[in-house]
Amino acid sequence: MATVTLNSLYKNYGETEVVHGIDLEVGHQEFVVLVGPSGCGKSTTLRMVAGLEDITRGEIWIDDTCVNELEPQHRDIAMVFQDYALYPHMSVFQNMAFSLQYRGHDKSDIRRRVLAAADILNISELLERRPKQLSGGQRQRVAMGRAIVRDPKVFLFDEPLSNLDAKLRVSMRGEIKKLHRRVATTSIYVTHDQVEAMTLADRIVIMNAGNIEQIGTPDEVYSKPASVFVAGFVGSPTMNLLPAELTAADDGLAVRLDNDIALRIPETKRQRYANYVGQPVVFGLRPENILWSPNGAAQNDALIRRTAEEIEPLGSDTLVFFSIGGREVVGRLPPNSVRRIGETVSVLPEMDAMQLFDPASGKAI
Amino acid sequence: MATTTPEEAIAGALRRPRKPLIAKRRHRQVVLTYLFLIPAATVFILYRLIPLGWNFVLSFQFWSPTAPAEFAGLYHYEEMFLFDDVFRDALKNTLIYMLTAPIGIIMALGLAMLVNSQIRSRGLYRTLIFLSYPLMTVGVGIIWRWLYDEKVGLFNFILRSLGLIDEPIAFLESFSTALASVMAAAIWQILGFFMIILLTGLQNIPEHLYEAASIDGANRWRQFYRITLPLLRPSIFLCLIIGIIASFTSFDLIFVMTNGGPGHATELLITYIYRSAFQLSQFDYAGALTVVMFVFFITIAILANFVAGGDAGKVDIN
Repeated sequence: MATVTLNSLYKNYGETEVVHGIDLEVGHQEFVVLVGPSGCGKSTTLRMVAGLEDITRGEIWIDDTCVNELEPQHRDIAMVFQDYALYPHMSVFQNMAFSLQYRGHDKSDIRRRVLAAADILNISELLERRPKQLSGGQRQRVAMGRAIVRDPKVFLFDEPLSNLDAKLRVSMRGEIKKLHRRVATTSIYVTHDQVEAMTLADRIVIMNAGNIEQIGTPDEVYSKPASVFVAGFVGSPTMNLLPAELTAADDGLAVRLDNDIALRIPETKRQRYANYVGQPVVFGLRPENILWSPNGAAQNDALIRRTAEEIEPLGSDTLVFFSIGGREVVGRLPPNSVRRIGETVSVLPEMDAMQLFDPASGKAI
Repeated sequence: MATTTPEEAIAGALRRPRKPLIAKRRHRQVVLTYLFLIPAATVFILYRLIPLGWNFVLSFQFWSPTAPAEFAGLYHYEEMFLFDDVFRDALKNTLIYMLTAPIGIIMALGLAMLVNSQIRSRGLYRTLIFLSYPLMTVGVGIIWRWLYDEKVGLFNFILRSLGLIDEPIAFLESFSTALASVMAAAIWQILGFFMIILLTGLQNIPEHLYEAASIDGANRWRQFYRITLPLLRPSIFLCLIIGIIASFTSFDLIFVMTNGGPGHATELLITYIYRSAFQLSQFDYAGALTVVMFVFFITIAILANFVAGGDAGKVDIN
C-alpha cells in the first residue's frame, strides 16, 4: 500500500512563490501525471515529493508518514530523470546495483534483482556496457531499471521521454505503461506533453502558474475541461474557443458567435446556462465536433458556411481552418472533404459536445 | 546567343573563385596544419629537443668549454649513482618535494568544493585563492622568506604572541624544517591553479547525478567517493602531472629561499644541475644529471597519465 498526499503545498524561491498551495491525493498503485506548460510548477512539485527541493509550507505524506523532513534516501522513492542521470563511470549493472548496495542487500540478492529488472526491460545484454555506449532509448531503460530494481513505494518520473525522438517516445510510452501494469507501483509522472499525459495517466493533474487547474481522468479533462486554460491545453489541435453571447431564443437558449451565427443550446444544457442569458461567454468546441455537412440544408440555422483559409491534410483526416467573427476555427474533417484553400466549407457544430466558460474567471460554466 | 555587358563581365570575374595555389583541398589542409605548427615546433626543437640531445651526447663525454671533448662512456653515470652523496640527497629531496603535488591537490579539492558550494561571496574567494598563482615565483620566495624570518617574520611573531614558542624557529636555516618550509610556499603558490582546474571539473559534474545518488541512498561522503572522485579523475591527474612538472622544475623558489641549503637540505635535482654546470663548470656531469632527471620525470608523467586512464585533463560527462 502506497499513497502520496500533498496538503496545501507551497514553494517559494526567495520572494517569488512558484507553487501556490496545491492539494493532491495519489492513490495506491495509481499512475498520476502532472502536466502543464513550462514554469507551471510541475517539476518543482515532483522534486518536493522526492526531497530534492525544500517545502516552503504544507505537507507531503507518503502513506502515513509526513516526509517533509526526511532526506530523499529515506522516503523510499525512486526517480527517473529527464537526462537519465546515469553514473557515466559505472557499467549498467553497477548503475542498477548502486542503490541496493546502500540498503543492506547481499551480493547474490543484488545480482538477482538486477538481472530480474534487466530481464523485464530487455537490457540483459547491456549490463556490462557504460552509459555512453548506449542509445537514448537504452539509457532510458537503464534509468527505469535503476528505479524498479529497488521495489520502492513510489516512482517519480521527471519528463523521462523528452530527450528521445518522436518515434522512440511513442514506443517508450508503451513500455512505461506496460511496466506500470506489471509492477503496479504508485507513480507520479511529470510531462509537458499532453499526449503523453493522456495516454499514460489514470488521472491527470493539469497545472498552470503554480496552481492545479483540473484533476481528472484523461476522458474528463478532454471532454469536460474545467477552464479555458485546460480546454486550450489539452487536445491537438486544442479546443476552439470563441467569444460569444448567450441569448434567449424562441423556445430556449442560443449562443451568438457572429452576426449571422446563433447556435441553439441543446435542451439538456439549457438549465445549466439559464442564469447567463444576456451575458458574454466563451464558447468551446473540439475540432472533431465540427462535422462536415456538404449537403446540409441551407435552412438549418446551425449550418455554418465559411471559406477554407488553410488546409492541413493528416492522412486519416484533414484539418480545415476558417474564421468566425475574426477568430480562427479549426475543424477535423474527413480526408479530401476540402481540397483547396478558398473553397467554401459547410459544417455543423455538434452542440451536445460544446462547452461554455465564464470569460472573467476562465472557469467552465 | 546572349551578349554580356562589360559591367556583367566584371561582376562575373569578381564572383569567380580565385584558383588556389594548391589544387587539392586535402593537401591545402595539411599544408595549413603544418604552417600553424611551424612556430611552436621551431621553439620546441630549438629550446627543448636540441638541448636535450646535446645533454645526452655530453653525458657520455668529458667536456669543458676550454678542452676538446673526449668519450667518457658511463663514467658520469657511475659517479652519480655510486659515489655522489649530493646526487642522492637531491634525488631524495626531489621525491619528497614532489609531495607538494598530492598535498596541494587535496587542499585545492577541499577549497574547490567549498567555493563550488552555495556560500556567499564565493566569486571573491575564488579570486583570492587564485591570486597566488600569477605571482612571480621570485616574489613568492621573497614573501615567504619574510614570513619565515627569525626576527621580523610573521609566523614567529604569531607563534610567540600565542605563547607556543619561547625561541624563534629558524624555518629556512634548520635542516629539519627547511625543505618542508619551502614546500609550504610551493603549495601556496600552485594551490589556486589546482583549485581552478578542479573547480572546472566539479562544475562539469551534472547536479542530477548527485540528486540521483541521494535518492539511491548515498550520503554526502558516499556521493563524494562514488561520484565526485571518479568523475574528477581526469582533472586530478592533470593537476598531478602539472604538479610533478612544477616540482621538478622548481628552481627559482629554492634559489631565492634557500639556494639549496642549509647544506644540501633543500637541494633538488634541478638546483644541483645548475650548481654543477654554472658554479662548478661540470657541464658534462650536469648533462648526465639532466638525462637522469628527464628519464625519471618522463616515467612519472607517463605512469600518472596511464593511471588516469590515458585521459588526464579530459572533460567528458556523458
